[in-house]
Amino acid sequence: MIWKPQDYRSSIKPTWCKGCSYYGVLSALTEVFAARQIAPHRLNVISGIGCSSRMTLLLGTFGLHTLHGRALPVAIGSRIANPDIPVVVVAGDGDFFSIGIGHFVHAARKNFNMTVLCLDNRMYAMTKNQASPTSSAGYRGTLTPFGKLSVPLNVLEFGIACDATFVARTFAGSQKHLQETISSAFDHNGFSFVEIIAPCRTFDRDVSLASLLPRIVDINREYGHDPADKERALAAAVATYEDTSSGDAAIPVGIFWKSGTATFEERIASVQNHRHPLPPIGSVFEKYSL
Amino acid sequence: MAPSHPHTLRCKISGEAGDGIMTAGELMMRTAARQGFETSVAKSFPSNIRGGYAQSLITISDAPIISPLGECAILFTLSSDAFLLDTADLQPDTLVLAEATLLTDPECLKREQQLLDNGITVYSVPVKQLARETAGSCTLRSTVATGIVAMLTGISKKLLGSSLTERFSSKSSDVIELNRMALESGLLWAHQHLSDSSQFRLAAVPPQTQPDNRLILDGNLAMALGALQAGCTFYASYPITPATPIGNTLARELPDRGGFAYQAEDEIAALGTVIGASFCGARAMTATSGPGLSLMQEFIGYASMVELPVVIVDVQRAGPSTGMPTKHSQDDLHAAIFGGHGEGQRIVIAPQSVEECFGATVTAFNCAERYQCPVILLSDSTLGMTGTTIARTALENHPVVNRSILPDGAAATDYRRYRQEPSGEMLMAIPGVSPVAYRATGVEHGEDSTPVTTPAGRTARMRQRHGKTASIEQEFPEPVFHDDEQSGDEAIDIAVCSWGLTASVCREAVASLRRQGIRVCAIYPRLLFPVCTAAINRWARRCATQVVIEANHTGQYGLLLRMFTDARPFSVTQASGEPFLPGVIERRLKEFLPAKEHS
Repeated sequence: MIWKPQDYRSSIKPTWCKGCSYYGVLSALTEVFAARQIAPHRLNVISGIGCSSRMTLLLGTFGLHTLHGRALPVAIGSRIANPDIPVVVVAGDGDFFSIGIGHFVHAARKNFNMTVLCLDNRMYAMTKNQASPTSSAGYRGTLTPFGKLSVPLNVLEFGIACDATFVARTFAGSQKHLQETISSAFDHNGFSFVEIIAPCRTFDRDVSLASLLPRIVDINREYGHDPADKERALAAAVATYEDTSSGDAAIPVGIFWKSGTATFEERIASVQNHRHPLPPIGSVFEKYSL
Repeated sequence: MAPSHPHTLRCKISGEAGDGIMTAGELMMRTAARQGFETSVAKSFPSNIRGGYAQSLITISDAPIISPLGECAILFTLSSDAFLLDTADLQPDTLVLAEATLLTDPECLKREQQLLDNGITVYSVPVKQLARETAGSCTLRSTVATGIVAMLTGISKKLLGSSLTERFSSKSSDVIELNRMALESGLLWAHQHLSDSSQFRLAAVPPQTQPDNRLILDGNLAMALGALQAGCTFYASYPITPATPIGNTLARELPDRGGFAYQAEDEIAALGTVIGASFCGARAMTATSGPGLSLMQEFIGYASMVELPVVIVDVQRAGPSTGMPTKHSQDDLHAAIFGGHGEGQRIVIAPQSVEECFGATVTAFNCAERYQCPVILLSDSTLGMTGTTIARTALENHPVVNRSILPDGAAATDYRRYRQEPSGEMLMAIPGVSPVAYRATGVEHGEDSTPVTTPAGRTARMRQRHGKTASIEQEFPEPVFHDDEQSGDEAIDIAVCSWGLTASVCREAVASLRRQGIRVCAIYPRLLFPVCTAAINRWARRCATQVVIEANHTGQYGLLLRMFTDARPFSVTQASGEPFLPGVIERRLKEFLPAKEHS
């Protein structure tokens, strides 16, 4: 059987707004899965709570639509229990980097082999427009009527600092770039973090996919950035951080950082006994005999 | 109260944490066990690495031990704090041994006089001096004390020596030799000064014809082994007193069995990983204590909603907040049953002894897999840390219930995750096994796991989730979920109910009451939620005077019985951080009896 992109879709109709930038991510995911011909029942997509986290329900793969901020721990348990099943984690910027930021640090530095997609609209959209960690300073959300009083979190810099072994940024308005970047992330053996610039057309009237498109620049192609150079990757993440909500400066996308170290799953396998049959339970009891 | 059995002896050794109190208790328990006795040691210590009150309560018996807790016949105190605390409420026939230097403290001297006035024998023992003279250091005083108790009770000197060698096998031969000398000096001193105290000498156990197949386990260890017996392959936890040792054991054992124990970044993540592993088909467990249970509540609700089997051990400690992290309590019952928002369905089970910690863990996995829901196992700090002898046969014959899985090769059309077969079974699709996928969601959903918002759809799902366990009481054989002690149709003076470790202590108190001619019917439930309504109602019908005994402040199980059964019990509670003792329970139960019956 040949799996076509639509075979990775469930029968559920999206609850996203018309023209939402997330539709492009949904398409890209089904294309990436179909390109690899992995059966839907051999894939696991795990999400948190929020607009972007509805992704799980729209796919025909296995999936867990979990709690706000808690997709990563559930993903870790799935990876340990069955490392043969690839895991994709999808959540928003508020989910990953506000309520769930503690889990992100540990999942990244432990280098679990999973594809982690942050659909970054720089706000909480499902609760109708509040500032998120990635919103720009001064952003007016319903809970920050006088403007957000803190600076935004640079998630690329943060991902590199957390020792994620793959850190990239892509843009929901470019299907080609989305598919390329998600493909590279999916194929990377380790914690692959992708920030997807995906503005909210309902609550953020200042930007749109069309208005951002001319500013998108791929750092690998245009600047010849080598993702193996961590110092430059960090410098690029810091220096190229740009507020997408205003101005006309370039918005750099591409693979910022990539390295190859053992995954946590590989480390687990190295301490596990894979003999069959396993030792009888009585051999454990004997250790505690009188 | 006299010891429950003429051939049961209890000895308490207490002092400062770091004095070697725990080691002394372990040594005596192991040695007496090797002599053929049934033994247990209950420990209590502060949540410090050094300093603060610590005690070991050793029970030695020639019959199976019902309660590992009870009033001691011999009390050996090594510090003034321990002396003042432990002599506050003693039985008149207790023998008190006290480190000589503490009997120069004015407050201790005052107490000593009170004890003597009450006819209690107090010996001043130069433990520090003996330790310094023989071993050159007073750090070995608990070993000296062990020697003294060994002489008093008849614990074998030879076996004690080999237990000592084994205990310190990782240390240098000097350490072992010094400990041997300290032991000898204790034995010699006792021989010279206590040879007339022969009433504590244990009668020798007849030599066994069968090889000794017993183990020594504590509650935490028994739960870890129970998890292995149940086929657990994934465990995750965050360090927390007093539950950490469960993980310590599984971290060592699981990789050898193809599994893994994952140290998570917090308790939320611990349960999250357990849920992810269970989704992928693993039998998965986490263990924590009260603060961790609080953090896990949102994920417990999620597991209820997506109907995934997970086992959550709560080794209770005295709360709320940090409370008393090493101290005894049964105060998480309502948090286990009702915690979290939105009426999530779950099962709550509490073992009553170390042996039951093993079986109850297997039962918890079986219930989780059978009913596809979270199961909370309530242990407590005392049960978790109480070591005891257990027959190997007690760990056998614990069958395992498997999950209903949508098999490979099943028809992929019209799979509905939450459709109940006539048997009540729901077939779960598992990634990598089943030929068809589904999405689990915490959003309210229909049988096919897709979101539902209609009143009828929501109502049906709430009923289905809460209805799954409607016949749980009948589906498991009687002794799994409760023990009833109620003979015939005779009139009953008092109906007694208790759960968890307190139930074991209560059994000893009830046995004593019965010896005094008081007619007691007792029920000791293990399945705490759903409430064993039918069994409780049968129990309550026997007597209008019903009493529930539990170690918390508000009488949580008693309140539960008022909510879910016909019982209208009185509550006997204690939230001091210390476990109930049989004598206390006996005294407080008598308060409910007409005066003539216990004059």
